Amino acid sequence: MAKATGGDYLRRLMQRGSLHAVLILLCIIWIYPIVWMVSASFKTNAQMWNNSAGLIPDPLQLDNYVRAWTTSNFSIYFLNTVIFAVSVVALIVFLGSTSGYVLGRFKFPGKRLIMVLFIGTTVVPRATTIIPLFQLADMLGLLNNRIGYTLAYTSKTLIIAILLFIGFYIGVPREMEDSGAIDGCNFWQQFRHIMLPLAKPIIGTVTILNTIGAWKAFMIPLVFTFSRPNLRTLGVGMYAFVGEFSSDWAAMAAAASISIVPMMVVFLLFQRYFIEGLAGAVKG
Amino acid sequence: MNAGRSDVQEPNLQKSVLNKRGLKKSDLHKAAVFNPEGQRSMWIALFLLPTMLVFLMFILWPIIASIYYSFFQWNGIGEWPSYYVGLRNYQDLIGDSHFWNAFKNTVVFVVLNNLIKLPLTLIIAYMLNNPRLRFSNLYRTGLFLPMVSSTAIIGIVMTFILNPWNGPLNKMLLEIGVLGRPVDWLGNINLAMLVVILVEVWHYSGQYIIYWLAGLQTIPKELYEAAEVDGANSVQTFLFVTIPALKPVIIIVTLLGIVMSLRVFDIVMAMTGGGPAFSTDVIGTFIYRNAFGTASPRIGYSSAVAVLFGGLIMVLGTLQGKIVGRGNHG
Repeated sequence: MAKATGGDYLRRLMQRGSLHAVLILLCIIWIYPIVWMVSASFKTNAQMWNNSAGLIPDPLQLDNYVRAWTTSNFSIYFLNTVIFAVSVVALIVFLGSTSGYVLGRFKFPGKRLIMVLFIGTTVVPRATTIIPLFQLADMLGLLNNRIGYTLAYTSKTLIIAILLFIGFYIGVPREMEDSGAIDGCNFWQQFRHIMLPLAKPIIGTVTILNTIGAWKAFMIPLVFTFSRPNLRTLGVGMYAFVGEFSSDWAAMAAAASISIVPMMVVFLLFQRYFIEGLAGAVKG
Repeated sequence: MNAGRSDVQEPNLQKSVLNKRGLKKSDLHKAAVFNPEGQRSMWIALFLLPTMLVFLMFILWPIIASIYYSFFQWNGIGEWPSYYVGLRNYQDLIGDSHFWNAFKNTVVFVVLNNLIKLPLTLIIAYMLNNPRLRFSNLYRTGLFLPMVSSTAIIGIVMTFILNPWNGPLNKMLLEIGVLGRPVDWLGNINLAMLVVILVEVWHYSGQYIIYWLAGLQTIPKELYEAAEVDGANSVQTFLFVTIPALKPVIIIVTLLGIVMSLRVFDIVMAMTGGGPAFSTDVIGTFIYRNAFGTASPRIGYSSAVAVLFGGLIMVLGTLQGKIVGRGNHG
């Protein structure tokens, strides 16, 4: 079959060339809006109107960042978002791994019902239940504090995390537990020292997905911090900022860059791990 | 001989394990009497308890409460709804043309969004999955970046990029002569929905490319090698090897795509708010408008929308399942 004729070689080269051309074009279209945003954050407002499509700010100036940073509470929003993201991730990993382990590996009465309820409720649009959620938080004294919006947000993505853990644990061979049983581990030790470390790819995936999610979160932090603006996260802070600066596009671009560029850097650094984790989840 | 030996050795092994842990044989017996089954059930319950608490309080309860509210006329003020109206919210809803408009738009959004997003991202993933492809990490990075940005920010950036006065998109298209005059992408009744859909495809494509890449990696290499031996080109390989082998993944990812797009809300809110002239109004924005966007919130009515919409989706889902099932058998 290996007829490496000149014509074949040329055809292959052209095929590969067109493949790269398509991918390069796609990438340019895909990142243009983001590059545009970052470049706009260095432009003056006048430049944004006159040279709106261009990507090279001239003169390049940092004034927008100064304006965005000093006139809003971005440093507080930043800290809030970090605390929010860390608590959400810790809670989801704990809840998702424990219940995912049990649901993925054991048979017990009521399991089917739990699965049906879990999957059935994921279809319900979250916007529709925000009012009762709000009331519940109010009743429990969880409005306008960190615990409230952390719990409420956790409930939004918890089921997907549980399903990822279930998918993973179904695929782990039985012998892994038997070896733990011989070592005399009890149920908790078996989970903590054998099964949980095995799930590293899923923990990684859940961590990255929820860090990004918490960073972007909007509706729940908004509704839960109506009377405590100093608990706002970046997603909500950005929204409030747009309201105040509706004609200062350059400052908005700077604010937008402040709030998403750190996340992009994190994503770029952990990208490889993220993809491996997801691949593991589907395979498992 | 062998069997006899192991018979002798086993108790010794057991004893040595027990000794190591400072236990006596009677302890082992006790553990067995205390029935590991019962202990295991206790642990299972303990492992489920925290999740079930969060689930019941923050997921299930709000849904049940929504169903309850849908039988009341209530403006959300006061602890609890009290003016029971029976099925009137539902009757009003069935006669409300805005509801049906939002319903239609949501279906259009879900169908078009997935029809564009799923094949496009699958083809991109297929191209990226080639292990001999150079720069594939670079391409991935570029294609994944949009999914990290938040919808609120995408709303701001896209509103500017698409604006008809000096938006970069109009400028570029005018310059290369594709357009004769600027287009108001988000202000045109016929275009706005399509533009919102395309922006949503762009925003989440990275996530779907990752799903597909994960699925593609489960296909055994031998299948591709066999196709190569048979002299199949890459399009043929894609159609006759990849797609059939990927069928289970395709079903899961399609379901995921449909479920996620049924929840559409943020992107519409950030880009058009449902306009112009309700041409991009979806169920999510319709509910939001009735519950938060007016001076006299209609919580009962909004809840009825949620319940009715959920019910219609379930019916559609079952019907579709039946049709697909019949297609498979026929």
